[in-house]
Amino acid sequence: MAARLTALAATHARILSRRRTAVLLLALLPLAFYGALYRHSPNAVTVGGVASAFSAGGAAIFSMLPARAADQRLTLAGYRPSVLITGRLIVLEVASLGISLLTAAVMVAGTGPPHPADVYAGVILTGLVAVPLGLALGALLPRELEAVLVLIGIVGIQITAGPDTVLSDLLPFHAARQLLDGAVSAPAAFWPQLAATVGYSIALVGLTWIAWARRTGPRPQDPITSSRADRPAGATEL
Amino acid sequence: MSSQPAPATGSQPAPLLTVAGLGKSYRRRPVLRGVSLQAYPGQIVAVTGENGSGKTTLLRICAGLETADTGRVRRYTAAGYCPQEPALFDLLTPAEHITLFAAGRPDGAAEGRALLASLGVPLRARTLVRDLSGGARQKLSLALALLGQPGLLLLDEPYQGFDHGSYLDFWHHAQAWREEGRAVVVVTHLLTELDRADRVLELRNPPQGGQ
Repeated sequence: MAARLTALAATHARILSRRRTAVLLLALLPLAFYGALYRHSPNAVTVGGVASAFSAGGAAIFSMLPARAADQRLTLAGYRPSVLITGRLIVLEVASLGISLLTAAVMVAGTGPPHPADVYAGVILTGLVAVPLGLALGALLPRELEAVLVLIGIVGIQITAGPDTVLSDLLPFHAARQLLDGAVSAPAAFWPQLAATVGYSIALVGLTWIAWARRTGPRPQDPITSSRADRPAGATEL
Repeated sequence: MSSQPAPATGSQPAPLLTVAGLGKSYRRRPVLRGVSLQAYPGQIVAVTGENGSGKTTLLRICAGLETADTGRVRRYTAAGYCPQEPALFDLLTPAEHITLFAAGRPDGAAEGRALLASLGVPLRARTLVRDLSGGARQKLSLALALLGQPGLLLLDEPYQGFDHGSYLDFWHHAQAWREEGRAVVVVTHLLTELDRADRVLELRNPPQGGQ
């Protein structure tokens, strides 16, 4: 299992490294949101930080959905769905961490918030939960378009909904947003936000695993019987 | 997939695949109905039929990638499955595919390289799958199905995109697999090639109407 996990993680790292343009755009996307607001809005750090979820979640979606058929072959070759998910998760979380650190560093330098550590923490937690969210959307939805639209909806609502609304509380980036909001005002407690984000992430990974196992996993070959088995034959052996 | 002892009868070798009374519908549209098939060691079974008659669905069910609504499928050996559309990673090289698919198998990489060479897949180190011809992709897909020397080969039109020489080579390989005692189930549209098969299963479109 370790050999397969290593091979799969190396594969996804290799694929990601060969998508240089996409990686560059993923790194620039949250900075574009921040750059559009940083002179005009006190929410620039929050928007830029939560917008990093577009990058991490989008990368996860496009790692899952186009590979569905190949993953089916990998399951036939002996890969477990848990390995298929974990291999991606490792690579994407590392990539997301890199984007988060870059985004946070630029925002701290640009805005000079009173609590810069919370900027780093908020952006990193955003990426931490955005990857499992993208994986889950990729596992649950049939095509890239649908998955990306749902991701845009979730992140967009998280950015625009008031931080104290019930809707905002339920969304996956609420804890990260608390930290980002607090970075420029009164800081939020770190550990509860970390616990909430990790809990959300674990739930999303579990959901992804179940959905991907159903979509790609080999089916049992135990006898299947039903009353329809005696219908006239639709095949002829020549 | 569990491997079980095959039910041998007398001098008849035990089948490596048995399919009995298989039925499958997609949203009430019947695709397969009452399909039965046995594949024995050292046999090539050709599956033919018009478009939409369920050839691909049959092989996917035999491979374990789909469930049947009715009937029974039993495999008594490891199976290699080559889908109609090569399901590959565009940004990997053929050698990297072998590394991935053979991970955890002793000598899997060496076996994979030998398979690529025998099938004529370009082994240039940096050529990505997206830059390969359709035929070369299909050969790579076939090589992945052959990894681990499975006793049962489920091949869904595996020669799409092959030039004439590669196509003939494929059938020579199929004869060799047969002589090694493997069972080869191959979907084909080409009626002229049916004499290369030991058995032919012709699928017909089941009557429509939600019966």
